[in-house]
Amino acid sequence: MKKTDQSPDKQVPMRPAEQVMKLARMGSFHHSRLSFMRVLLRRLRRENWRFDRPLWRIDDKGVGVATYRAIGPARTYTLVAFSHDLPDELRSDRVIAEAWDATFTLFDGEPTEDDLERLSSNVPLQEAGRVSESELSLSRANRSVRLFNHVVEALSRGEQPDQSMIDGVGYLMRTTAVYGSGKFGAADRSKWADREEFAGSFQPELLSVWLIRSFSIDIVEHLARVAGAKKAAKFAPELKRRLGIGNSTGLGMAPFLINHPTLVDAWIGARETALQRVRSIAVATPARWEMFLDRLYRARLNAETWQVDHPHQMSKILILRKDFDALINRVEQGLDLDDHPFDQLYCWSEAQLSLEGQEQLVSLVLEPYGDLVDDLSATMSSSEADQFSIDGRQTVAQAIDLMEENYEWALRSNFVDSAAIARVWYVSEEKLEPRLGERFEEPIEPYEQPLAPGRDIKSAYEALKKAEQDQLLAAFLLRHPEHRGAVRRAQMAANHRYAEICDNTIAADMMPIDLLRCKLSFFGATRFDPRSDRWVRITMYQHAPFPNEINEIDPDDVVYPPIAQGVQ
Amino acid sequence: MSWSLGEVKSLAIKAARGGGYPWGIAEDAGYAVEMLQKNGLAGAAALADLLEEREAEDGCLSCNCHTENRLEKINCPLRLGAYLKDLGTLDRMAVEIYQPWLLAPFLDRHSANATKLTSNGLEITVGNGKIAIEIAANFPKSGLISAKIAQGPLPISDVSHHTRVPADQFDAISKLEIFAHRTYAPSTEQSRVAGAGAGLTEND
Repeated sequence: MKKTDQSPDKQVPMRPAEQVMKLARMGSFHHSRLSFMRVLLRRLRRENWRFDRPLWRIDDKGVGVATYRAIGPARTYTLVAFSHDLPDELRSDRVIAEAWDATFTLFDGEPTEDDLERLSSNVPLQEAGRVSESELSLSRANRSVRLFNHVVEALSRGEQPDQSMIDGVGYLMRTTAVYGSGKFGAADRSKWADREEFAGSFQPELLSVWLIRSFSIDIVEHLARVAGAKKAAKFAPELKRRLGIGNSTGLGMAPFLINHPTLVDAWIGARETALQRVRSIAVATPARWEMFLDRLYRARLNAETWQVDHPHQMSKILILRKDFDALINRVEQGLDLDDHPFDQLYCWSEAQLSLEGQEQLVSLVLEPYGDLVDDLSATMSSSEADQFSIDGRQTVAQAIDLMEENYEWALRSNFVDSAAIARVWYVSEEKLEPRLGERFEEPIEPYEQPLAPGRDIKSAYEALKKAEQDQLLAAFLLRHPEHRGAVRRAQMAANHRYAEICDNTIAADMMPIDLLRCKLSFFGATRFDPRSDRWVRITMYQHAPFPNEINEIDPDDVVYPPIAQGVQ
Repeated sequence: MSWSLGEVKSLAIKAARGGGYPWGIAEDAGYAVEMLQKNGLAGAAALADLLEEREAEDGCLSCNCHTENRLEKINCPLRLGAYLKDLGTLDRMAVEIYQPWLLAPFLDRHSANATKLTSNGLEITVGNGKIAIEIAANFPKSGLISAKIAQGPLPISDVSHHTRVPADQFDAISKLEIFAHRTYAPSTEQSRVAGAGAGLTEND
């Protein structure tokens, strides 16, 4: 009997956590159909959201306020943008900066003049100001020195900016922090978590960023008009679409994946389920296969133009380019499209490609199957409060069993050697931001944050082994409150397969950029550009439609650069 | 001026840690403060008072529990509360604790019955995420309080949830910030450059 497209006559297994949740692999993830930016743009398009710019009160120096309105079927949101005249010497992407080229907040509804007045004395101060329950995000951006002035000057002369420069940088402004969920007084997540338009993760923050991209274009066109008057040109749509919005992220984001285990489980679980579904497809129809090939060739273009200074990432990119050659060679040799072609390809990749290549393939095989996997995006959030309680009626012996079942990787690890515990996660007094220090070189151990679950689980396990085995866990924890955090985590992980990173997060050779890359790939970031082992720049929304184009341009189709035009 | 619940919860966790509790108990402190504030009750102030009392007692509020297994010897509402919540069952019992308000969130059970904590001049009723408190004007603001815990039939319906922590918690929040500050490492030039890991060319 001929198998039909998508008939699940064979269900391939999910990849095990110990394979997926390794830092080196997580640090090789690429954006996919399930990335939050794509989820957002698909919804805005599907629901016919309307966008306008009700206010543009910006002077000839580029200083003032502008608002961008997003009108959905149920509610309206407004990005309030404050534009500043920042001297070059004050421009810094570091969290210790105190001034920026532009500052933003996403307002829940439409702000009145009184709201704008209140926001104007707080949003430009960022962490030093206060926002309210009416605000859903707080963020700021700096200009790209390399590109911003070039674009203003070219447009003011009536010319289009240089495409190779645009492609080389990829953005006019880069955000240096996008805060949401109750930070600095903003609305708690619980205020909007039940809204249909924000199902999934980080939707208000990513709506802000998408609208900030529009502001970055509007402000260069404005300054070009000021300088060139009637001579000034409008930015050509095809050219400006090549610009995304940059982001510069340091360690502040790194602990997130350790601090939100059930959310991480939801994210990774959705992606792994999507992979499982596509690998289980018996027959790929020619149309689906063509679409896969199209995305494959376009993704290769992306890899060929992906340039970074960081030697570790550059070597990964060079290997990824070879992986693409091997992958395309394998595809061109021909696969039996009637016998689980994506599973064949995936299994082949595990033996033949680097982690970068394998994870790139995972993202690519999902591309033709939106109808099969996009629904998973609604599962990518977590009610963490539900997982907070500890079942103290378990016995000590049961808790030991649970740890042996789920933390084999941690229990067999050595947390004694100095290289295994070389690092300390701590929060600096200066800006209250997470940092990573050297345990044996700096006096920081007393300030250690609980961000080494492997070590802490093993320590709790050893204490449990010494306790009376039939004792209730509640009684054990009353005597040993120091193990409370680890035991809570172990119980949580028992019901959440992908909750825990199966690696040592304080080892001497741990690379924090792996944590950043994993999180940012779920956001939908491209062009990872590490500036060190703990600091990365990325691009968001490059090639994506602008608000006035979202009905004409399918955001899912433009994620990879078009072959005809290529990129420089 | 108001704070988000998440902001105050996160501050409470850091403050409890800075006040000497292990991280696991500090998370329970965050849970308790958030739930009290959600019910319009001064959770931030209760935690600030507890941390100050603990400090005054040399960090020893609840050290008896290490040597004796009698619940009335556990005087810390966070330690006792965490234990009772872990067990999930509540028998009628007598307790002696500091800051009894902080115990209330741990007595919450999703059942038909409410839990009642009573003391001379204080009655706390907890059930289904809601907390109601009746307190006499002269009820002591500090010190060890004797109280009884029992199941009660009264459902709580007239308590609405709050979404913000109001300005009247300003002093308490300032105190919590002082405790939280103890968890922050003093900056050194090494930590400023290496710890954050910024590249040298960030302004381009």
